[in-house]
Amino acid sequence: MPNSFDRSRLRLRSFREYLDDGWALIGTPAEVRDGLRQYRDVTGYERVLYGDGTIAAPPPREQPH
Amino acid sequence: MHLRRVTASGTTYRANPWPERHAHQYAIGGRNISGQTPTPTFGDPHRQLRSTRFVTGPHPPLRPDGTRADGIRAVLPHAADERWSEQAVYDSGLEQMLAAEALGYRSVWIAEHHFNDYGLCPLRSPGIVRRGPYHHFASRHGVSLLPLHHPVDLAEELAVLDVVSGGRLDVGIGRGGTLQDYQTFQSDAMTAGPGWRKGSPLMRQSWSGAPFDFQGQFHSAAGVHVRPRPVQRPHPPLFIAPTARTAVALGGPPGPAYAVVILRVAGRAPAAAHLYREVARAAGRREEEVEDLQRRSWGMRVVHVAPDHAEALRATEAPFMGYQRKMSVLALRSHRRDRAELVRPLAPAPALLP
Repeated sequence: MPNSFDRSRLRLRSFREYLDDGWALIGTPAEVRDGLRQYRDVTGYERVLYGDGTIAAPPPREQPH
Repeated sequence: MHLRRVTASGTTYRANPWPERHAHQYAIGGRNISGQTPTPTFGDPHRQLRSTRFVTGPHPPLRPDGTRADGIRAVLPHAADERWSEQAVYDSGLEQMLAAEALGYRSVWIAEHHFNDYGLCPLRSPGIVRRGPYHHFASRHGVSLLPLHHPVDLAEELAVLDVVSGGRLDVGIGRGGTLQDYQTFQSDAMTAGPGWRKGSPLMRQSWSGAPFDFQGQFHSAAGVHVRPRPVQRPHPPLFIAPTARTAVALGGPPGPAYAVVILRVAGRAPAAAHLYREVARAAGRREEEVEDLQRRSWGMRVVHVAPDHAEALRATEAPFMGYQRKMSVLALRSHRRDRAELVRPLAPAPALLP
């Protein structure tokens, strides 16, 4: 509910902290491949959904509209 | 096979130009990951730069027979860079879906979001329905926010999508997140959890193909006969997208629904997977059923591939942190502690985490 937890504890973490927490798999093809294998082995999930990837979008070179 | 398709922007994609066994070696954007097979050509000199924004890169064959079972979750976000127009976001998202399909990805998941620029698709059933040579491409909802809608109303729309897609619809449902959502759509946040649990059976009953009466705590109906009936029987597969222990636990109780769980919190996925298995066993599911659930579940990862590690980090940090800032705003608006925990530092990771 609106005041059911202390929002003052919220804070944006550093990029490194997010990576260390496993938020994203970023690197070379080999690193990503190994990371996905490890993810599969540890979780048991054999299906990978590549998600929210548009966050890595650079700005468009031209605005079409 | 060299099926070609020209998108609205004039971009040409080739459908399935590579053997299935090699398709996993490619990243969208024309990069040749393996260095052994042809690099796809997209014509547009900016294509590579633009296309690398979603996705994803190489991954191992995930099944013994070498076939893949991959999907892309298209949130249709407003990009971290505010220079993106909303029209550009949609154009880009749709182009990416087409490109993904041509590269062999099997599904696209589209999320329902309201009132923030993290997600620009407020449709409750945002089906991408196309047939023809691309018939393998499945549309999935990742996810529709059930407490914001009447279950029968939502079931009707989804049934139509399943019919016109030829039975290639998967349905993801979630309970929603922000107080503003609940307030605007006059849904009670206090009962969103129970409402979600009870709304799903009503959706399934709506897809039964027979008239029915329903009297529940949140909804009632008399003599309702929902048409059309979905092509898939008894109904399209149902997914839930838990981000919290309580939501994960919803996947456990016996019953035909919630056969599959999407686990979205990447770093906590191993612990959540373990919890899901434990809850399912405690709820009386047989071991082989638990294994089947696990096999059909999806884990979501945010992935970015670059030729070297430093470049991958450089290209990713700013937009990733922009995304996190948006998520932090969502967390502040949320009534749910688990949403806040997406941003807040968490307790030490369980032992299952790698």
